[in-house]
Amino acid sequence: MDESVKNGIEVLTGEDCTRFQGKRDFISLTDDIDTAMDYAEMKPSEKVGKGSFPVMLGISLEDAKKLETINIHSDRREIGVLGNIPPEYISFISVPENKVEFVRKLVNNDKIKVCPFEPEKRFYQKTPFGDIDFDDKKAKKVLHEQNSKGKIFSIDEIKALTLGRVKSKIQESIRKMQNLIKDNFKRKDAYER
Amino acid sequence: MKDNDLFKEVLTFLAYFDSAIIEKIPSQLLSKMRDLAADSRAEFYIDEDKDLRNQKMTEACKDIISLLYYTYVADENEKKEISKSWNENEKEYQKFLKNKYDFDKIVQDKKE
Repeated sequence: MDESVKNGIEVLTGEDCTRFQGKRDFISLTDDIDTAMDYAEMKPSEKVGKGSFPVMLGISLEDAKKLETINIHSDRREIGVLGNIPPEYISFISVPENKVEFVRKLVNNDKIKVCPFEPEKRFYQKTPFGDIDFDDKKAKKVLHEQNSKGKIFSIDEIKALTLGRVKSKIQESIRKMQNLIKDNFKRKDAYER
Repeated sequence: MKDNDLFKEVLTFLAYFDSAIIEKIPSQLLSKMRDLAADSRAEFYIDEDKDLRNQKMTEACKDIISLLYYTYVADENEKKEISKSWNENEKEYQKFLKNKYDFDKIVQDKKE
């Protein structure tokens, strides 16, 4: 794709911009672990936005066949997936180490394993059926052994932010949260003290 | 600000919180936020060179994050400290509002 643009070849992929320089209108689908890991290691550009992080989804070949795909002009071994991927097709999600816990909770699905990228240790592997899978035990071990990398807001920063708020505004937030999830978010003693 | 945009903003920032904090927030709550945020077309960015207080963040987002911290992360002593601070800030805020919208003062200021 990038090479095509560089060489003046018209690109008919429906992408807004070249790879990672802007947003793509599709999800890259590949059965090549090196291609997947190369994407995982790319740092999103300023244009895509700080705060973005790469996500790698593991899907079985059987499920991949059910997805709506498009051919794309690319110098990689990949095709495009249009729209969203149904959660029931996803076997694992790989994200930067410091995002694992967040994504795990966000996904909130025991059937989907969430693991950290670990390009050097490469615990991803091809199964005899041609799928890409990963060594779950090894991934968890690595996660516990290593410290988080990248930007993380400290607990002191969060507390400082919290201390600076105003009670009446917090009460508005409590109402929002109560509307969001009625049973789970009890009206705590935040403003009753 | 729409709630789906607000919760997308909150989730954008939560992604940069330590795992130990995220662990304490109920999954169900995060899932609900995720479902709402999925409908948002708004974009939010983290400036990795700035600390949390200096991030470009809406006041409503700061309030939700603070509420999550108070409810799920802070221990009992911290809760007392935070609650006291919120009450004090509220007094200052009401003074500010009173000053801002005090009719007599507005008239007085205009005369001057």
